[in-house]
Amino acid sequence: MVSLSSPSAGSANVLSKSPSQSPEYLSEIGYLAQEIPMYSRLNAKEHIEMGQHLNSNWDSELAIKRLNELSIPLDRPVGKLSGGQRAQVALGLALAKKPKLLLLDEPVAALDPLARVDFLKSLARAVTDAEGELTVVMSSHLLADLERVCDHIIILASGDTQLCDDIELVLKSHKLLVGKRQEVTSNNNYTIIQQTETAKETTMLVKLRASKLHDPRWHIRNVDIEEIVLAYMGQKRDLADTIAAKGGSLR
Amino acid sequence: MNWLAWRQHRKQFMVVGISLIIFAAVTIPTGLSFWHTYQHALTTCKTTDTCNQLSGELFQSNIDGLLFHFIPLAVLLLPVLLGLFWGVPFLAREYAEGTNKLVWTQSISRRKWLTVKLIWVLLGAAILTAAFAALDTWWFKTGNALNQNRFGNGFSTQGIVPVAYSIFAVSLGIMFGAWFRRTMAALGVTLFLLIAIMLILVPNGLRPHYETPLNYKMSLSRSLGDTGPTPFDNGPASGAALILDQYPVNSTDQPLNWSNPPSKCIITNPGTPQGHSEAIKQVNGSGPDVNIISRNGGPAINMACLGNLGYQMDIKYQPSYKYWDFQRIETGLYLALSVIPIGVTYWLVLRRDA
Repeated sequence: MVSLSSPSAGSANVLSKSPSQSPEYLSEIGYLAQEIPMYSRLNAKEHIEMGQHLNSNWDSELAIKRLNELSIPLDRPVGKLSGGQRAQVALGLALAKKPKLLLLDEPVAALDPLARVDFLKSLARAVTDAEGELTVVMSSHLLADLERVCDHIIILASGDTQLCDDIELVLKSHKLLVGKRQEVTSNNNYTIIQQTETAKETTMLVKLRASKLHDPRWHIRNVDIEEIVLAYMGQKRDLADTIAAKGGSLR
Repeated sequence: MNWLAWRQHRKQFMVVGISLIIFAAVTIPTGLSFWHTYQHALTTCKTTDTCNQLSGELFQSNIDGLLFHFIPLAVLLLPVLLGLFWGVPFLAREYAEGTNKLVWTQSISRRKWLTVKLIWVLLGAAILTAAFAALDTWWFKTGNALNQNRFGNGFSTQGIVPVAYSIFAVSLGIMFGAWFRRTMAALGVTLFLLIAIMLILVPNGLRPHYETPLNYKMSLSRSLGDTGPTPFDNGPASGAALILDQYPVNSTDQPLNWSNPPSKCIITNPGTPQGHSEAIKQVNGSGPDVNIISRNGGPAINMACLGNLGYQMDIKYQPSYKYWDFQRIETGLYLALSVIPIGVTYWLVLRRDA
């Protein structure tokens, strides 16, 4: 989506444009790569100055103000900053571009828990400050973080979209059903995402089709986003195993 | 973009700039002193008519020898060093540290980013190399006047060719750095190719053939190394020419068959006093020494005897007045060669995934 790689198939429409290497396209997109790359011998101030020279729409003051509030030393080479500080500098740079879309690729994967919370706090504040002008797309394996900051979730597995919805709706519509061991299939009331059986009990994670489910056979429990995601990923894996066993292949 | 290019590369400019100042601090005083010594010797040798012996008399101290060796060597190695330490990390480091992803997602096209950076580093390499080469060319004028050979090592370190070498070497390093994305592998390949092309292939394989060589037939009773008037006496002295080949031919231009020469001129046991006197006898006892040559495992041959049979030495050579022609041709060759790595680099940066 930032044209760093060309698509192997398909196309994308981002902010009503198709992704390209042109400055017009890139100027509206902020991007933070997973490894948080920066010029390790340049300090934060020089990175901000670099942004000033490479972008038409750049807010140096905002970036400096944000980093000052976080007490991040502006004149120390970024290679000598802590991981959390580097991530904050990189986020500051991405935001100084005043993007309409901010793409974050596993931004907190390498950070310690405290730095991660701080980073997400900064991110949330930036979204508030932008007053609806900024959309953030963030990929992460840290599902609890997603629940804390995201409005919308997309689950991708094996190159396919498994789920795409508002997090609140997802939480509302997915339930864990526990009951006596029995044969069940998906029906008008729910779709089974994942099912496990012990000698006595059947447990299944389902997506409800209606807003409420009344079925005395089942105890209904709420689930968190992590369980939901794992269920979807597990479902995909089982399917892949089945097809592989039949001698087919699944991309 | 100029800001970033300068900020990224200023350190390497400064390192080479400081080296240039040190180089100047060595070459300017010694150059002046050498030239002064030479001019002084030239005026005194005229009175005694010993000017052709000057090259064996002047600058024989160890220090002078080192200078005459290492000053041109520095200029010869400069393009290689620039190729390795400016060219290779130029993009390899961006890829290795992922900073290409940072800079390619700012509001600037990759094409412009690469173009501005290339201009800075190639222009910087060209200007600094030109300064080194100019100093060396000036400094070596004493050496050029003394040994009168501009086609030897002096060719690669003087005039305009070093500038083209640097542009080529840096371009090649940049391409391999972008290609492999890893500094060490790119360093190895770049070094290997630079040595193969710049130190072996071009000077030995291509340079002698830039233009059709001239021919000269020389009497067999003398050799190129002799002092005094030489076959190339129309201006430049013998050493000034680039000798491609020399071969004895007979009066009908048939080359000598080394393994089966005219039997009359074979010396049966050249190493012994007997063989030696026999050899002298064969040239009617003239001269204290005899020019004896043996090649390709053939018998020892008395060259003066061959001369008496009508053989002459056929010499293929490039005359010294072609020096600047050759400089221009070689400069053009390297600049044209540089187009390939630069083109590939653009392709790698613009078309390949980050």
